[in-house]
Amino acid sequence: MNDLVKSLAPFLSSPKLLPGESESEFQASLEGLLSELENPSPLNIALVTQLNECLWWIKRHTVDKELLLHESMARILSDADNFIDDLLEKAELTVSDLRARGFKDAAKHLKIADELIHRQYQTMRHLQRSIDSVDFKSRLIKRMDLELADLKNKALTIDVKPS
Amino acid sequence: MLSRLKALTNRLNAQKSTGSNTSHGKRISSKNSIKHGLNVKVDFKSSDTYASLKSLLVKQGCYPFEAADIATSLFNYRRVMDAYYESYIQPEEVDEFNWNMHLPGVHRALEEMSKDSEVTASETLSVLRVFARSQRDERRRGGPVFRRTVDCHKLIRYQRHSISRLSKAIRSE
Repeated sequence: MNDLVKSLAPFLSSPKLLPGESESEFQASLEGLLSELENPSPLNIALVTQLNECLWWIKRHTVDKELLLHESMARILSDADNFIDDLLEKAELTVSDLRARGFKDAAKHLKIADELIHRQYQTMRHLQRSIDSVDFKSRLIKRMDLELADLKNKALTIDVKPS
Repeated sequence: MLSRLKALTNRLNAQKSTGSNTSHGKRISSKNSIKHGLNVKVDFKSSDTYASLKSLLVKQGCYPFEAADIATSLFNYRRVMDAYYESYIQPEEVDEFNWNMHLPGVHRALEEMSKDSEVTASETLSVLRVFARSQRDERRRGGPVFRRTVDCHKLIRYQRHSISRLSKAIRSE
Protein backbone atom coordinates (compact mmCIF):
# COMPACT_ATOMS: atom_id res chain seq x y z
CA MET A 1 0.00 0.00 0.00
CA ASN A 2 2.79 2.44 0.93
CA ASP A 3 4.51 1.78 -2.41
CA LEU A 4 1.31 2.60 -4.23
CA VAL A 5 0.92 5.81 -2.28
CA LYS A 6 4.52 6.75 -3.07
CA SER A 7 4.04 6.04 -6.78
CA LEU A 8 1.10 8.46 -6.77
CA ALA A 9 2.92 11.21 -4.92
CA PRO A 10 3.91 13.18 -8.07
CA PHE A 11 0.27 13.43 -9.22
CA LEU A 12 -1.28 14.35 -5.92
CA SER A 13 -0.10 17.59 -4.42
CA SER A 14 1.24 17.15 -0.90
CA PRO A 15 -1.20 18.04 1.88
CA LYS A 16 -1.56 21.79 1.95
CA LEU A 17 -2.15 22.53 5.57
CA LEU A 18 -2.78 25.81 7.28
CA PRO A 19 -0.58 27.13 10.05
CA GLY A 20 -1.57 25.34 13.23
CA GLU A 21 -2.95 22.27 11.50
CA SER A 22 -1.29 18.99 12.36
CA GLU A 23 0.21 17.01 9.50
CA SER A 24 0.31 13.84 11.59
CA GLU A 25 -3.44 14.17 12.21
CA PHE A 26 -3.99 14.62 8.48
CA GLN A 27 -1.88 11.54 7.68
CA ALA A 28 -3.59 9.48 10.39
CA SER A 29 -6.99 10.33 8.96
CA LEU A 30 -5.75 9.41 5.45
CA GLU A 31 -4.27 6.11 6.61
CA GLY A 32 -7.51 5.30 8.42
CA LEU A 33 -9.45 5.77 5.20
CA LEU A 34 -6.90 3.86 3.12
CA SER A 35 -7.06 0.89 5.48
CA GLU A 36 -10.76 0.58 4.66
CA LEU A 37 -9.99 -0.15 1.01
CA GLU A 38 -10.56 -3.77 0.02
CA ASN A 39 -8.61 -3.62 -3.23
CA PRO A 40 -6.11 -0.74 -3.08
CA SER A 41 -5.26 0.44 -6.57
CA PRO A 42 -3.61 3.71 -7.72
CA LEU A 43 -6.98 5.16 -8.71
CA ASN A 44 -8.66 4.18 -5.46
CA ILE A 45 -5.84 5.68 -3.44
CA ALA A 46 -5.99 8.91 -5.44
CA LEU A 47 -9.73 9.13 -4.83
CA VAL A 48 -9.42 8.42 -1.11
CA THR A 49 -6.79 11.16 -0.83
CA GLN A 50 -9.25 13.63 -2.37
CA LEU A 51 -11.94 12.40 0.01
CA ASN A 52 -9.69 13.02 3.00
CA GLU A 53 -9.04 16.55 1.73
CA CYS A 54 -12.80 17.17 1.53
CA LEU A 55 -13.12 16.12 5.17
CA TRP A 56 -10.50 18.70 6.06
CA TRP A 57 -12.28 21.40 4.12
CA ILE A 58 -15.47 20.62 6.03
CA LYS A 59 -13.56 21.00 9.31
CA ARG A 60 -12.04 24.32 8.16
CA HIS A 61 -15.34 25.80 7.01
CA THR A 62 -17.03 24.69 10.23
CA VAL A 63 -14.39 26.55 12.25
CA ASP A 64 -14.85 29.52 9.90
CA LYS A 65 -18.55 29.71 10.75
CA GLU A 66 -17.65 30.42 14.37
CA LEU A 67 -14.94 32.87 13.25
CA LEU A 68 -17.44 34.73 11.07
CA LEU A 69 -19.60 35.19 14.10
CA HIS A 70 -16.68 36.45 16.19
CA GLU A 71 -15.58 38.84 13.45
CA SER A 72 -19.09 40.19 13.17
CA MET A 73 -19.38 40.66 16.96
CA ALA A 74 -16.03 42.47 16.99
CA ARG A 75 -17.21 44.76 14.22
CA ILE A 76 -20.36 45.67 16.12
CA LEU A 77 -18.24 46.59 19.11
CA SER A 78 -15.74 48.59 17.09
CA ASP A 79 -18.51 50.45 15.26
CA ALA A 80 -19.91 51.46 18.63
CA ASP A 81 -16.67 53.42 19.16
CA ASN A 82 -16.77 52.74 22.89
CA PHE A 83 -15.33 50.44 25.48
CA ILE A 84 -16.88 47.01 25.58
CA ASP A 85 -17.86 47.26 29.24
CA ASP A 86 -19.49 50.68 28.70
CA LEU A 87 -21.36 49.44 25.70
CA LEU A 88 -22.63 46.38 27.46
CA GLU A 89 -23.64 48.44 30.47
CA LYS A 90 -25.24 51.42 28.73
CA ALA A 91 -27.09 49.50 26.10
CA GLU A 92 -28.02 46.81 28.61
CA LEU A 93 -26.56 44.39 26.16
CA THR A 94 -25.57 40.89 27.22
CA VAL A 95 -22.95 38.81 25.44
CA SER A 96 -25.67 36.56 24.07
CA ASP A 97 -27.47 39.63 22.68
CA LEU A 98 -24.25 40.63 21.03
CA ARG A 99 -23.90 37.12 19.61
CA ALA A 100 -27.44 37.30 18.28
CA ARG A 101 -26.72 40.64 16.61
CA GLY A 102 -23.48 39.24 15.22
CA PHE A 103 -25.39 36.28 13.85
CA LYS A 104 -27.87 38.60 12.18
CA ASP A 105 -25.09 40.65 10.59
CA ALA A 106 -23.15 37.63 9.40
CA ALA A 107 -26.21 35.63 8.30
CA LYS A 108 -25.45 36.00 4.60
CA HIS A 109 -21.86 34.84 5.00
CA LEU A 110 -22.84 32.00 7.34
CA LYS A 111 -25.15 30.79 4.60
CA ILE A 112 -22.26 30.95 2.13
CA ALA A 113 -20.09 28.90 4.54
CA ASP A 114 -22.91 26.35 4.78
CA GLU A 115 -22.99 26.15 1.01
CA LEU A 116 -19.25 25.52 0.96
CA ILE A 117 -19.67 22.68 3.47
CA HIS A 118 -22.56 21.27 1.48
CA ARG A 119 -20.43 21.36 -1.67
CA GLN A 120 -17.74 19.29 0.06
CA TYR A 121 -20.36 16.72 1.10
CA GLN A 122 -21.58 16.51 -2.49
CA THR A 123 -18.00 16.08 -3.71
CA MET A 124 -17.49 13.31 -1.13
CA ARG A 125 -20.57 11.54 -2.42
CA HIS A 126 -19.18 11.66 -5.97
CA LEU A 127 -15.85 10.31 -4.74
CA GLN A 128 -17.51 7.52 -2.73
CA ARG A 129 -19.51 6.41 -5.76
CA SER A 130 -16.36 6.45 -7.88
CA ILE A 131 -14.46 4.38 -5.29
CA ASP A 132 -17.32 1.88 -5.14
CA SER A 133 -17.34 1.68 -8.90
CA VAL A 134 -13.57 1.01 -9.10
CA ASP A 135 -13.79 -1.50 -6.24
CA PHE A 136 -16.74 -3.29 -7.79
CA LYS A 137 -15.04 -3.46 -11.18
CA SER A 138 -11.84 -4.93 -9.78
CA ARG A 139 -13.87 -7.54 -7.85
CA LEU A 140 -15.86 -8.28 -10.99
CA ILE A 141 -12.68 -8.68 -13.03
CA LYS A 142 -11.25 -11.05 -10.41
CA ARG A 143 -14.45 -13.10 -10.39
CA MET A 144 -14.53 -13.23 -14.20
CA ASP A 145 -10.89 -14.37 -14.19
CA LEU A 146 -11.73 -17.13 -11.73
CA GLU A 147 -14.78 -18.18 -13.73
CA LEU A 148 -12.74 -18.21 -16.95
CA ALA A 149 -10.04 -20.30 -15.28
CA ASP A 150 -12.74 -22.66 -14.02
CA LEU A 151 -14.29 -22.96 -17.49
CA LYS A 152 -10.85 -23.57 -18.99
CA ASN A 153 -10.21 -26.35 -16.47
CA LYS A 154 -13.61 -27.90 -17.21
CA ALA A 155 -12.90 -27.73 -20.95
CA LEU A 156 -9.54 -29.42 -20.40
CA THR A 157 -11.10 -32.19 -18.34
CA ILE A 158 -13.59 -32.80 -21.14
CA ASP A 159 -10.69 -33.00 -23.62
CA VAL A 160 -8.76 -35.56 -21.59
CA LYS A 161 -11.81 -37.75 -20.93
CA PRO A 162 -11.40 -41.14 -22.59
CA SER A 163 -13.84 -41.61 -25.44
CA MET B 1 -27.34 63.56 -20.18
CA LEU B 2 -23.97 64.54 -21.68
CA SER B 3 -23.75 67.65 -23.76
CA ARG B 4 -22.55 67.23 -27.36
CA LEU B 5 -19.35 69.10 -26.56
CA LYS B 6 -18.65 66.90 -23.52
CA ALA B 7 -19.33 63.73 -25.50
CA LEU B 8 -16.98 64.89 -28.24
CA THR B 9 -14.26 65.72 -25.70
CA ASN B 10 -14.66 62.29 -24.12
CA ARG B 11 -14.33 60.63 -27.48
CA LEU B 12 -11.20 62.62 -28.33
CA ASN B 13 -9.62 61.85 -24.96
CA ALA B 14 -10.45 58.18 -25.39
CA GLN B 15 -8.27 58.14 -28.50
CA LYS B 16 -5.29 58.76 -26.23
CA SER B 17 -6.15 55.83 -23.93
CA THR B 18 -5.20 52.92 -26.10
CA GLY B 19 -3.65 50.76 -23.39
CA SER B 20 -0.21 49.25 -23.34
CA ASN B 21 2.15 49.86 -26.26
CA THR B 22 5.18 47.71 -25.48
CA SER B 23 5.11 43.92 -25.73
CA HIS B 24 5.98 43.69 -22.02
CA GLY B 25 3.05 45.94 -21.12
CA LYS B 26 0.73 43.99 -23.39
CA ARG B 27 1.82 40.72 -21.78
CA ILE B 28 1.04 42.12 -18.33
CA SER B 29 -2.29 43.64 -19.30
CA SER B 30 -3.35 40.39 -20.97
CA LYS B 31 -3.52 38.93 -17.45
CA ASN B 32 -5.61 41.79 -16.04
CA SER B 33 -8.83 39.85 -15.78
CA ILE B 34 -7.25 36.59 -14.61
CA LYS B 35 -8.24 35.92 -11.02
CA HIS B 36 -7.79 32.18 -10.58
CA GLY B 37 -7.00 31.07 -14.14
CA LEU B 38 -9.52 28.23 -14.07
CA ASN B 39 -11.17 29.36 -17.29
CA VAL B 40 -7.86 29.06 -19.14
CA LYS B 41 -7.51 25.80 -21.01
CA VAL B 42 -4.51 23.80 -19.84
CA ASP B 43 -2.83 21.10 -21.86
CA PHE B 44 -2.01 18.40 -19.29
CA LYS B 45 -1.20 15.88 -22.02
CA SER B 46 2.22 17.35 -22.68
CA SER B 47 3.40 16.87 -19.09
CA ASP B 48 5.43 13.88 -17.92
CA THR B 49 3.34 13.34 -14.80
CA TYR B 50 0.25 13.01 -16.98
CA ALA B 51 1.93 10.30 -19.07
CA SER B 52 3.08 8.44 -15.94
CA LEU B 53 -0.37 8.56 -14.38
CA LYS B 54 -1.94 7.38 -17.60
CA SER B 55 0.44 4.42 -17.85
CA LEU B 56 -0.25 3.57 -14.18
CA LEU B 57 -3.97 3.49 -14.94
CA VAL B 58 -3.43 1.39 -18.06
CA LYS B 59 -1.44 -1.08 -15.94
CA GLN B 60 -4.40 -1.17 -13.56
CA GLY B 61 -6.54 -2.43 -16.44
CA CYS B 62 -8.03 0.72 -18.00
CA TYR B 63 -8.15 1.14 -21.76
CA PRO B 64 -5.76 3.91 -22.90
CA PHE B 65 -8.56 6.30 -23.90
CA GLU B 66 -10.30 5.74 -20.54
CA ALA B 67 -7.03 6.24 -18.68
CA ALA B 68 -6.48 9.49 -20.60
CA ASP B 69 -9.94 10.74 -19.66
CA ILE B 70 -9.53 9.82 -15.99
CA ALA B 71 -6.03 11.35 -15.78
CA THR B 72 -7.21 14.62 -17.40
CA SER B 73 -10.21 14.80 -15.06
CA LEU B 74 -8.08 14.11 -12.00
CA PHE B 75 -5.53 16.76 -12.97
CA ASN B 76 -8.32 19.22 -13.61
CA TYR B 77 -9.90 18.50 -10.23
CA ARG B 78 -6.52 19.00 -8.52
CA ARG B 79 -6.10 22.31 -10.33
CA VAL B 80 -9.46 23.54 -9.02
CA MET B 81 -8.70 22.41 -5.47
CA ASP B 82 -5.29 24.09 -5.56
CA ALA B 83 -6.95 27.34 -6.67
CA TYR B 84 -9.52 26.86 -3.89
CA TYR B 85 -6.71 26.56 -1.35
CA GLU B 86 -4.96 29.67 -2.74
CA SER B 87 -8.18 31.68 -2.50
CA TYR B 88 -8.60 30.50 1.05
CA ILE B 89 -5.15 31.41 2.27
CA GLN B 90 -4.83 34.64 0.28
CA PRO B 91 -8.14 36.50 0.46
CA GLU B 92 -8.38 40.05 -0.78
CA GLU B 93 -6.43 42.14 1.71
CA VAL B 94 -8.19 44.39 4.17
CA ASP B 95 -7.21 48.04 3.76
CA GLU B 96 -6.33 48.72 7.39
CA PHE B 97 -6.10 52.47 6.89
CA ASN B 98 -9.56 52.67 5.39
CA TRP B 99 -11.02 50.23 7.88
CA ASN B 100 -9.70 52.01 10.97
CA MET B 101 -10.03 55.59 9.73
CA HIS B 102 -11.56 57.80 12.45
CA LEU B 103 -13.98 59.96 10.50
CA PRO B 104 -14.60 62.68 13.14
CA GLY B 105 -10.80 63.05 13.37
CA VAL B 106 -10.52 63.33 9.59
CA HIS B 107 -13.27 65.93 9.62
CA ARG B 108 -11.42 67.99 12.23
CA ALA B 109 -8.16 67.72 10.25
CA LEU B 110 -9.87 68.80 7.04
CA GLU B 111 -11.45 71.79 8.75
CA GLU B 112 -8.08 72.75 10.19
CA MET B 113 -6.44 72.52 6.78
CA SER B 114 -9.13 74.57 5.07
CA LYS B 115 -8.99 77.42 7.61
CA ASP B 116 -6.61 79.67 5.74
CA SER B 117 -7.53 78.55 2.26
CA GLU B 118 -10.34 79.15 -0.19
CA VAL B 119 -11.84 75.72 0.43
CA THR B 120 -15.48 76.02 1.45
CA ALA B 121 -17.23 74.00 4.16
CA SER B 122 -19.35 72.18 1.59
CA GLU B 123 -16.19 71.11 -0.29
CA THR B 124 -14.72 69.78 2.96
CA LEU B 125 -17.91 67.85 3.59
CA SER B 126 -17.90 66.34 0.12
CA VAL B 127 -14.29 65.16 0.64
CA LEU B 128 -15.35 63.67 3.97
CA ARG B 129 -18.23 61.91 2.22
CA VAL B 130 -15.73 60.26 -0.17
CA PHE B 131 -13.72 58.98 2.82
CA ALA B 132 -16.88 57.75 4.54
CA ARG B 133 -18.08 55.93 1.42
CA SER B 134 -14.73 54.24 0.94
CA GLN B 135 -14.71 53.11 4.60
CA ARG B 136 -18.28 51.84 4.31
CA ASP B 137 -17.37 49.82 1.20
CA GLU B 138 -14.30 48.40 2.90
CA ARG B 139 -16.22 47.36 6.01
CA ARG B 140 -19.07 45.94 3.96
CA ARG B 141 -16.65 43.45 2.41
CA GLY B 142 -15.84 42.28 5.94
CA GLY B 143 -12.68 41.00 7.55
CA PRO B 144 -10.36 38.22 6.32
CA VAL B 145 -12.72 35.35 7.20
CA PHE B 146 -15.63 37.05 5.42
CA ARG B 147 -13.46 37.63 2.37
CA ARG B 148 -12.02 34.15 2.12
CA THR B 149 -15.51 32.66 2.47
CA VAL B 150 -16.75 34.76 -0.43
CA ASP B 151 -13.62 34.04 -2.51
CA CYS B 152 -13.96 30.27 -2.04
CA HIS B 153 -17.64 30.46 -2.87
CA LYS B 154 -16.76 31.85 -6.30
CA LEU B 155 -14.95 28.58 -7.05
CA ILE B 156 -17.56 26.03 -6.05
CA ARG B 157 -19.07 25.87 -9.51
CA TYR B 158 -15.64 24.87 -10.85
CA GLN B 159 -15.38 22.20 -8.15
CA ARG B 160 -18.86 20.90 -8.98
CA HIS B 161 -18.02 20.71 -12.65
CA SER B 162 -14.61 19.06 -12.20
CA ILE B 163 -15.81 16.41 -9.70
CA SER B 164 -18.77 15.41 -11.84
CA ARG B 165 -16.45 15.12 -14.82
CA LEU B 166 -14.04 12.92 -12.83
CA SER B 167 -16.84 10.76 -11.48
CA LYS B 168 -18.29 10.36 -14.96
CA ALA B 169 -14.90 9.40 -16.42
CA ILE B 170 -14.40 6.74 -13.73
CA ARG B 171 -17.90 5.30 -13.86
CA SER B 172 -17.96 5.07 -17.65
CA GLU B 173 -14.70 3.12 -17.43
